[in-house]
Amino acid sequence: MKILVVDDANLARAMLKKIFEENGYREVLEAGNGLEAVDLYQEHHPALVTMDITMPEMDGITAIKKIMEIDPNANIIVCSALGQKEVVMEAIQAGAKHFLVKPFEPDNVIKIIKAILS
Amino acid sequence: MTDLSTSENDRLALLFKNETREQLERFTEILLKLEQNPEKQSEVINELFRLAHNIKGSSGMMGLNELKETMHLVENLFDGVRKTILTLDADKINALIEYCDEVSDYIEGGRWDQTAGISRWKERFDYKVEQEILPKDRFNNQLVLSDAEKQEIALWQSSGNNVYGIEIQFSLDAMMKSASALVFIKYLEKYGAIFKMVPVLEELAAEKFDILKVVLLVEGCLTEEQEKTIITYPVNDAIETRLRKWVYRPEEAKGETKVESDQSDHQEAVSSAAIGDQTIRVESSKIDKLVNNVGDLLTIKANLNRIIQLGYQGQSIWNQLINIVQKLEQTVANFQDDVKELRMVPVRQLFVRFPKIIRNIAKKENKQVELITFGEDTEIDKQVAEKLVDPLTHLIRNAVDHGLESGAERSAVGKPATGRIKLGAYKDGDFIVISVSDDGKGLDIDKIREKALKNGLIKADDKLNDEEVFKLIFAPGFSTAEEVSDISGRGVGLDVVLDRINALKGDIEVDTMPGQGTTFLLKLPLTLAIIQALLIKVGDQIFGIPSVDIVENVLINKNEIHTVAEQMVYTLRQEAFPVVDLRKLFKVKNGFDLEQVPMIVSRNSNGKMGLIVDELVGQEEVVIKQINSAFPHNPVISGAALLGGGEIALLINTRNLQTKY
Repeated sequence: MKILVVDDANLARAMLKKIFEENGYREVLEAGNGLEAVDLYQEHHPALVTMDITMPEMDGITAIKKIMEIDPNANIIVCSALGQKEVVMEAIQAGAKHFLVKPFEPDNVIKIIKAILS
Repeated sequence: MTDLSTSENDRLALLFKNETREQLERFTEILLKLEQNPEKQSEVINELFRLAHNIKGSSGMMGLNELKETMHLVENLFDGVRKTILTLDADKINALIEYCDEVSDYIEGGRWDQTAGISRWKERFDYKVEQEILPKDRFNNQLVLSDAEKQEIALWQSSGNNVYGIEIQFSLDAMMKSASALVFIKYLEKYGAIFKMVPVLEELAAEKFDILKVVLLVEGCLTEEQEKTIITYPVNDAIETRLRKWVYRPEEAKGETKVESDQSDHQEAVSSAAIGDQTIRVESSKIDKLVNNVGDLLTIKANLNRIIQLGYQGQSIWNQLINIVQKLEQTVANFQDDVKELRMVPVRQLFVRFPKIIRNIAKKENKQVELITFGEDTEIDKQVAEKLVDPLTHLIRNAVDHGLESGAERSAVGKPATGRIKLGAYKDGDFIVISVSDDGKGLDIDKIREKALKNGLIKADDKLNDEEVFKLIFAPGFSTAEEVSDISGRGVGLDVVLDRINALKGDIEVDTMPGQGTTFLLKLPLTLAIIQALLIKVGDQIFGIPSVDIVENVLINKNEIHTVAEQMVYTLRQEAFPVVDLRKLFKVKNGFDLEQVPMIVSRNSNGKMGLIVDELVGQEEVVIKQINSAFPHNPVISGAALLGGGEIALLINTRNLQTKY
């Protein structure tokens, strides 16, 4: 099962990848912006996407919309900093199913992705 | 970390180090500022809290437990400050700065396996933040059904379907419960239809709830398994999810008086949704400032009431009144500043679209272009930002299309093949300057002159200096239809760009160097709604002239005004400029005819101009109102302002003043 991690910050990407890999999700794809994310989604149709919001080239909200066009059942979790509630709400309205707040707490991340994937 | 390879771990450590360094720097920066202005803590406490929270989280991930544990205490301390249980006094700030230094050394040192002695801070920061005793639902939101709704529900149930009441309790210090609530609502929609919820969807963002209450209509009924899945569904910041099947009992319908207030809430929600596209996102710290101001106003009101109750008591009361009025003036001034700030957004929101636009044109033109931006955090009035999209797009398209040479041309003159567009913003007094520059070939002065000549904008014997020639590119009719290209042409010339900028009370400057590039500087007022205006009287009517347009005010002798080719002209310090008599323009029959008259010297993109008025009233900050379109449009009048005394001042747009009056 493939998981696509989208974030322009290397640290955030590395952290999520580590959490996923330590919990047995070993096929982790990475994208540094929305454009790459949409391309990778098109190609691999991952089971789950974690999507940062503020990114160069194409922001997370736009990317969510594009991915939802490709696959209306896409499982997207949006990632944000503490307090960015408006933009998270926008992302959820655009189709994201859940959200994670940075810094990531591994237990919470796993609990949420399991709930989404079940 | 055992699962990862060493190189992966090294990479993670490096990333962690870099990010934490940045966060610690910001942390110290804020603390140092606080040391100078301790009263500002309410403004920065949320950012401090976030920084501590982030460092705590990432250090935990890296297994740096000492750091994580001490940062946790610091986070608690900030939380206490946020809830106004604790304050950051000089002592605490000092300790935090010292702690921060130590943490920096520890992180930079890289010897994370060793005990660093950071633990000793645990004792220092162990403030017992007393748990506030609060009700579980501070907002006491009631879910009340109207009679019609009850009937609907009864009907639904009678046809063999079920109704569920679901409540989700959030922790009292949850910071993103609106988003959590939305996640949960969307999730519930998998199982049925949301019949009613409190708070309503549109009001979630205000976060005025501790419990989200939902009525869910389900076809048939939920299985035990489904019920269990719903109450265990992970929702950030939620403490507990409760679910119960409703059995409608008619006696529940009695004695409900809250329906009315419930309805008015609804109305508010509807109206705020109706102006949805005019809403503005505001940082919560800005709202906090407003709330503080309201607090000050309430204190002032209480003081005034107290004085009224005391009755007349001579001098001492008078002195107290003077004090209160001074406080009131200060508070109102703060209020005004803070409200102005509400309309401000960072120019980043304006700039985000340009990388894509540039990429597209560069592709079409087969040019390599690099975009550099600066000053994205500079704030600008939202309305100004929206109106800048088109003019800026035009300038940027021009820069890529015409400004930059092709890669081959660039290489031939020894420039890097990749052209560079620089887009930035900075503040300059009451103005914001947006600069668009390219490192291309620069404007060709001979070509501009040739073209202006061809298009009849100038005559062959006109003597123009370089600056005047460059200005011609903004003249209407300079850009011709022949060269409409798909990219920058569109039949729209730079004259339209200048018009748009002028409409925002702004101006454009051009700076160009042959072979080195061109820079356009758009200079715009920080805000549109409130401006400084000079109030003047013409006849009995008060007019306002934006202070930015005014150079000086002088008293002149009327006989020094000369008429040249039907145009009144005045020469001030050897500089001649046209004069407009506003009394004639507005057809005022002025009773007195004095030898000396006040003249306002204004300056705009058309140059200097003198305005003859009857009387100068004074300078004032005015709020501009649009004039109802039912009145005949007069290009000279750009709006109206209500003055302190209840009078109305019409605002004069000096750019549209025709001379010859």
